[in-house]
Amino acid sequence: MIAFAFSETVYFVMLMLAYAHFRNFSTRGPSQAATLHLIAPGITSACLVASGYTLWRADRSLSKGNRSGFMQWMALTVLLGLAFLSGQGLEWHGLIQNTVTISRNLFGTTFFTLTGVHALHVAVGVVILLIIMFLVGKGNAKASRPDTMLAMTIFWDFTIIMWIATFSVIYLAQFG
Amino acid sequence: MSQAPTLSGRPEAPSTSEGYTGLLGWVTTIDHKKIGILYLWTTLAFFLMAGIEALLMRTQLMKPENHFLTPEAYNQIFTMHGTTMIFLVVVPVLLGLATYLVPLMIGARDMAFPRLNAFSYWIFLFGGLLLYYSFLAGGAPAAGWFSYAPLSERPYSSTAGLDYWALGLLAVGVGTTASGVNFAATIVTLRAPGLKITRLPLFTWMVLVNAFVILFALQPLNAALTMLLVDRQLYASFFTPATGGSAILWQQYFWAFGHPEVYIMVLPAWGIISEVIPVFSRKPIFGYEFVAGSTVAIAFLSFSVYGHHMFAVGLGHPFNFGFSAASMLIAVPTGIKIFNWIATMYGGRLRFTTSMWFALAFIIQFTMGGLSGVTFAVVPADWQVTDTYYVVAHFHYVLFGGTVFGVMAGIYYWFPKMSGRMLSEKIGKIQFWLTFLGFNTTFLVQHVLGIQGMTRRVYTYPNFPHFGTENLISTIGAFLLGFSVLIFLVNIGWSLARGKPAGDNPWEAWTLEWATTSPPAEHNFDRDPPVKGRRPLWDLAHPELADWKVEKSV
Repeated sequence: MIAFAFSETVYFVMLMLAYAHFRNFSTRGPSQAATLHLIAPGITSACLVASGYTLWRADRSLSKGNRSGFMQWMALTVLLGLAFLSGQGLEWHGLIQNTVTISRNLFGTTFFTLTGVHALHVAVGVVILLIIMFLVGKGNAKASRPDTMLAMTIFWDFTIIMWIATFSVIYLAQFG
Repeated sequence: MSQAPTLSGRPEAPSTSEGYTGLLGWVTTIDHKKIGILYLWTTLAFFLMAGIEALLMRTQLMKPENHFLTPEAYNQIFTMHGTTMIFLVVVPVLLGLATYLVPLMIGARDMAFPRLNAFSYWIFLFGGLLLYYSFLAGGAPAAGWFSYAPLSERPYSSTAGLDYWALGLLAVGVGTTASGVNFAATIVTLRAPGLKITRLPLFTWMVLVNAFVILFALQPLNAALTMLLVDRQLYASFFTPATGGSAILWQQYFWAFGHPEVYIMVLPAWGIISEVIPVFSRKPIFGYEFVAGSTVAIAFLSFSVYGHHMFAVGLGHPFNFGFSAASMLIAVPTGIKIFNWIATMYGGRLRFTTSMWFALAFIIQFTMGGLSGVTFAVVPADWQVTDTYYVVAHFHYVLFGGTVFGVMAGIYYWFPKMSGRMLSEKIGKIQFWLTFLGFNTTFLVQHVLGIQGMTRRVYTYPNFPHFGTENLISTIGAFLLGFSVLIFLVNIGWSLARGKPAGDNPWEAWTLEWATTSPPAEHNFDRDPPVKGRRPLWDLAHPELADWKVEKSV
């Protein structure tokens, strides 16, 4: 999983480079400074980072044999992940309403591609979280092993770190 | 299926489900040996397809201003020839050989992630079929295997061929990346007791280094393919200059993948040669540490030379100087290997088996290809020969004269282990000489054509002096090469049916795969063979002359 995370990191970096390269190329149409606000993405980011903490609590519960605690913390992680995705969806909706779309100009193209790919990774992560919850609930021995939660944690933490990098490149770099 | 007792506490790998035999057994298998064999047959099929595409191209090119193929047809065929050979033949055949051999070579029961292993194969097959479906869905991709923008974008390529190309390659790329993860995990964690990293068979070492190159090199391609699909399907502008995008960005991303990719296509072949030559020289490899170390150097350097594919883009002196210097530098560790292989043979008692002949031809032809490559690391020389047949000659010498000949050496070497029967040496030697003659006839003359200025990637050429004759020679060579492939198929078919039984270790080789039956039992090994050096079977057979007694440290 570590190897996979390193590999996927390169993929994200390539997309971020494209964003950084193009972000100020658009001569017409909306730009990041004009259209991106910080508060809403800030809240969804906080949700995602918090979900890293809740996942850690879930892992600790499981290794102590506390199944119900595990389930509660996992459910919280799933909810926070879904909150992130919903917030991202609302932000997208707002932008599209204001005619900022993937095909409008280069800012739109790179913004939606980068955040879209990241959201896809979060969505896949949420699905895997649910699968693990289901299997542990059924008493599956392999799912309850420490290795399983370790691999999940690496993937989830990787997704959070990618968001921190993406957030910095997209939302914070305009102040640089 | 009965499980052998766990070897020394290492994790037990699951087996195929009970009771599946025949075709369903093959479809559901997660056994690395069966998956390896699936890879070999599938890549053979794609090799034949791409070979037919090559013969169609050579027929069109055999005389000037020929009209055997229309320009549109030619463009699709040369695109599919390149794409197939690179993504559906060379890379998967090396991964397939590694899938079969690596667990055996390290004394393991299976790969670290057997189900991921099966996934890698099936998604590769799916990607390949998706790519070829394009012929039926409006036309194959026709922008070259490298699909430069903006030709690859919607305004200039309106059929769905390029979308199939991008999706097919994304699928194949995911499979390759998964294999990289699997090999890294397997080699790092599942070695038999005593098999330290410094005692790894060189084939396994090359596969390990290759796994890391795969992990980092495939991703720029995945990113570029994603962006191309977003451009084409969602009307975005990553690579379309007309709407503010950058066609050069495509080239940067593609070659950031493309250059390490050619090393992915050769590293395991170097591993095959490093196994075959010592065994048929009856000497351990000369300078094991240098061969292993230079491989790591090449892996790192391979990411720093990609700009040499873009010297003609006009990116300026700093860009050109840097990549030119790095490209010359990378020839050094490669040369080190050639010297080591030759030094291994020097003073050895050579056995001229078919496998050894292919390995010898590899050394000569790969060196020729490497030398022609380093000639256009010099930027002004590149400006002269880029986009000519000189480049075509170069890469066919390294990829065909190199890797494919290496794969043939490997097949003749390991076929007995996989099938329990020897390939016919008589047919093999005939096949070797026909392949050698056919290959060199096809591609040697292309160096001349390139220097004389014949452009590549075009469906025909004017009637300049000598162009017609030289192209005809090349075409005759290509058909001879095609005929030699038929002989190869005959050998495989005949030997599977009636080949001599092989026994465990027909070549008196030294690495762990030869310590079990041919073919191996499902669980590979009954017990761990003792490993105290790089040649465990030599040590067992010659206790007084064992490597670990004679050498200071292994």
